[in-house]
Amino acid sequence: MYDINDLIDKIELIRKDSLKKIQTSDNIETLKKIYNSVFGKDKELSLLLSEIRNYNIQDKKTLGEFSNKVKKEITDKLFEKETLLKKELVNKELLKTIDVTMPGISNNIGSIHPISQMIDKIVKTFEYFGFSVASGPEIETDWFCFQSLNLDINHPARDMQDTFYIKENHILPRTHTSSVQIRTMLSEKPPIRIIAPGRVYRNENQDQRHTFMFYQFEGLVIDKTTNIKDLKNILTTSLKNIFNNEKIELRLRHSFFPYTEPSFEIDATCLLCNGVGCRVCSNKGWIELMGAGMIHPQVLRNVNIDPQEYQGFAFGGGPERLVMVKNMIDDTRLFYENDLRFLSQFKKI
Amino acid sequence: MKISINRLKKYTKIPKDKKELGILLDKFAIQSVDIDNIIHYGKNLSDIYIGKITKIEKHPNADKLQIVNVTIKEKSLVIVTGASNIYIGMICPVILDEGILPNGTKIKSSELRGVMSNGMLCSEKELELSDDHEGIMDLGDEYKDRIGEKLSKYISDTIIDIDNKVISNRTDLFSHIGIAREFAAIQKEDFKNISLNPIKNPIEDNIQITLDDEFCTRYIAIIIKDIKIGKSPVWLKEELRKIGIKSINNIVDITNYVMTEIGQPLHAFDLDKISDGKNPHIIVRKAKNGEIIKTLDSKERKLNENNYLIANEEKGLGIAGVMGGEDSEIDNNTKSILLESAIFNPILIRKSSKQVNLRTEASLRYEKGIPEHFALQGILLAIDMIQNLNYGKIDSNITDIQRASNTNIKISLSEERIYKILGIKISTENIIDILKRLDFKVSSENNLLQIDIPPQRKDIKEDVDIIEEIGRIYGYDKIPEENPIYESSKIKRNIIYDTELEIKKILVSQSSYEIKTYSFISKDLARKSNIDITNAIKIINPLSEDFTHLRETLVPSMLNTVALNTKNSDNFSLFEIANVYLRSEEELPKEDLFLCVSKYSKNKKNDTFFEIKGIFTNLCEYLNINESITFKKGTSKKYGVQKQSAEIIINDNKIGDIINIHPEVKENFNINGNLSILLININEIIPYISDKFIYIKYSKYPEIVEDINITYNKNLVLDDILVHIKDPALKSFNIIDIYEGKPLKEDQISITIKLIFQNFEGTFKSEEIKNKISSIKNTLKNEFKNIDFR
Ligand SMILES: [Zn+2]
Repeated sequence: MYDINDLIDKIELIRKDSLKKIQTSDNIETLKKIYNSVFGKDKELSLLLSEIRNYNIQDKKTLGEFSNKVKKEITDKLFEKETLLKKELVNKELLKTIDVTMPGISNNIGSIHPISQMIDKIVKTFEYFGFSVASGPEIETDWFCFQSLNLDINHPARDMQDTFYIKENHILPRTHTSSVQIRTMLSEKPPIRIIAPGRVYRNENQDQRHTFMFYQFEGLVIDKTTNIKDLKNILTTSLKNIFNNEKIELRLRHSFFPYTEPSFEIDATCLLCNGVGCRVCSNKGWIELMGAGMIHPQVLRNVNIDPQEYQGFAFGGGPERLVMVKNMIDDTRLFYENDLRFLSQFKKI
Repeated sequence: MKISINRLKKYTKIPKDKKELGILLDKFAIQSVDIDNIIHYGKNLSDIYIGKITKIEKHPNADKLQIVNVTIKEKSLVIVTGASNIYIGMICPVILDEGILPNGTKIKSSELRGVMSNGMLCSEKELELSDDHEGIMDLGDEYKDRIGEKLSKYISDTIIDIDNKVISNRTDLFSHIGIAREFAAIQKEDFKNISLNPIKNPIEDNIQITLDDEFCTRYIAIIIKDIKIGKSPVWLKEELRKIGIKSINNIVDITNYVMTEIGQPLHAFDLDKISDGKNPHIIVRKAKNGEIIKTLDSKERKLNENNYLIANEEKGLGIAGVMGGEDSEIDNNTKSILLESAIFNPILIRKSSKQVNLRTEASLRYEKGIPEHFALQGILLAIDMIQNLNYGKIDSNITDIQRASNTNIKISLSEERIYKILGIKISTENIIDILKRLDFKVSSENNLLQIDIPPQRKDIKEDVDIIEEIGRIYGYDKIPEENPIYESSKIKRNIIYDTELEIKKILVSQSSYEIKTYSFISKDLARKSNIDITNAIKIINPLSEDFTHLRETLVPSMLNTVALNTKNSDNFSLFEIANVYLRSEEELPKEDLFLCVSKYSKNKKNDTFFEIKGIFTNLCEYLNINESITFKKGTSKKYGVQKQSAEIIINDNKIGDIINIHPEVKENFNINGNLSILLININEIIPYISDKFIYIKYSKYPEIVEDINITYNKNLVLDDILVHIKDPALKSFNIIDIYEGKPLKEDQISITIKLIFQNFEGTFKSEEIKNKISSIKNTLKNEFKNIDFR
């Protein structure tokens, strides 16, 4: 057991030593070490203080008061110093400048093909009107692609169909997505509302406006009341949505398709000149977007639907054409060349 | 088909004002027939004068040139020309010094081999009147009182060009009369039909006709004598030239004029060449197999039973409805003709014309099905013209054999039905007016219309056909724009479409670009890709050698596209989702939907195999595929490297491949660098896509994370090691580092695995974790000999 004065000296020594260390320390880690070396369970000060219980009451009181003062002084100094150091750290961090114009860090995103993007725009738009996506085989029989659609083998309209064949006059890569109409009407009962995107094929020479393979989307509505007024209004609303342009107007131009009657070409106000006339629309103010019409009664009879009870419309168009109009593309072959210098421009059409 | 607007004026009112005409043509294009092109015929002729050649001299210094004196009013000009069809007295178009041709060329006086030329004599092509540039345009005697005047005063018309496809169901519109009726209806103007006189003073029948009844339903013929073959009058030449038909001689020109006026093709045979002075016997019959005929274009045509002939008792005289024969052709010595106007079966004409690969203005019209009564109208108009122009004398009665009975179609239609289809109300008076203007006969009782279909409207078959006529003439622009109210009926998701879109989204976020390539490939592309296409489905009529087979895999087109893009990019990923087409026992080929992803890196240090495997892992995670997926080394694909490829297997089903492309294939495509491909059969993975997901609770106590490092010989497979890392408290583990190289031996690899433990009862004591780690290590040590830990 130490003499009380020795003990006080020893504690005083620790006090001085600690305060000196605290003063000279320059980081928070060191402060933590100092704290531990002073107040740690098996450390010097703790060991000394554990001696206090061996003294008489009066000495205990003296030693207790003294040691408490020392402890408080050291912890106060530690806290003071810590606050100072933290503040210095913050100030130091605030001094750092970054070049905000340097590029962000990311892996680049790719892109969905513009045709797929357009198809999805179309699908999403018609989903509002309760259409669901339908599909059918790309390689079709003559019946599904032609005969059921009122294009029998000798029909003059077969002129329009420059067809590839797998088996002569029998199995062929479909020339339009209209075959999906037939498959759907055979497998589902009205009311029917479908939108069918897909690949189609025509034996045509390739040029700026033609590729032998391209995409089409086909819409079909069959119920008891849908009429031409509905056709016009649904297509108008949809095209406004697809092109995100409220000013677009539609024009139904009389036309001929064997599977619809009445038949129309759907023209829209030229997006570039708003109908005034420009090079893109050959000064007409209108651009042809798709074909449409009321389903021909003979087509309904071909799939065992009574044309006096049910009616409806169909429409079809090329997503390529819509992208070309929307994004000012002048060569349809670009869609199938897949040059990244083309594709990478279409993050979002 | 070209239509002259001036020629329509005989039948209906046509606005004189250019702007009004423009509006009318717009209406016509919307309500009747789309116009491909509007040609302002004879425009920009303001610098062209009518001149007369008064003198022709040889050029002293050039054999091929002549010096011509041309009179234009009082003036006389000297012009040097190279044309050879000129003669003294010829009236022709002349352009003077400083004048501008329709194509914008300015004419300047210039010296030609020592002689000054002060203008130019013009050809039809130079005036943009036709494609004829064979000589100077001969205006003919009709212009003799117009010398010195501007040509534009006499040559000016609006020509509309119509795409034949658009009117393929409207045989009545292949003529000026038909088009005129449409113009009248859309303007609500009167239509004045053509009036044709029946033949007066009939002479005895002297033509014998034998028909194939299936093929020929009407045959009309007449004999005309004292024929004077010669040039057509200028106006007739002009009418034909305007619509792109070349003048041949007066008789042929008349038949062509009638065809374009009425829509009925005619043919004139030289009577002496077909009948030897006796009464002619015309036989319409099937051709014999191998029968040969020389047609008007001097080509020998080998026929078979798909062809039909107009013949006499000895031989074929022409391919019926397609083209006449050269042997019976009229020429400058022709004295008498037999004029034919017939109706043939459209389907059989189509076959016949296809067989000889010959489509003419006549066959084009016959293919569409010509109304029976056109035959009589046509021949009457031709006879009228021949007589009026004094080109010949009628020498027989009209012989008219008709096989088809004229059935008059009647359709009844309620106004309610019209409303139900159009969606708008049109008054009864308006409906009846529209139909009458289109030549329908209509009676109405209690809102029910009884409609007689005119014989030229072969396209009208049922009520909706009539509703279309009403709708288009009334005008669809009168349908009001309203917000469509549409209750949705049933909503059906399309799992394949939705999945495709999800796949595209995740791939795009992995820096991949979607491509779309053709579904057909060539033998050559397959060969370059080490792919055997002997079993692939062939196109029997391919567009070219490049697209002959339906593809059975997306890989060749992908390789081709990668190769294209390596020219501009060093590191990229592409993908395509499309069908492949496989031979099948069914009627149709089997179509299977595939995803093909490629990853290319020019820098060989980038391991594209694992990059693409990473893409696949993310894809499965995104699609919520929770099944355990295994990778089996090797591939059956010849374009892949055996030891660097894997088959992807879920529950014993192979769903795809990851393949490092064979160096030889890369060489074939000139691809330098690393290239890996991921192939997935989308139909195969769809069943594994789960839409169910249940939230799993995690412990509220802190997770303990421990890394272990394993060094092992490369003859071990990582998956085999990982299956032994097990502990009930092990929540998950993942590979955080892979290392090869010094100080490891060449055949060694080192991986660092992060183990995550969790405890639901409390916090782990450090001994517990230590024990777990050493137990895992012990298991591994017992399983594998050459495995070390650090
Ligand atoms: Zn425009």
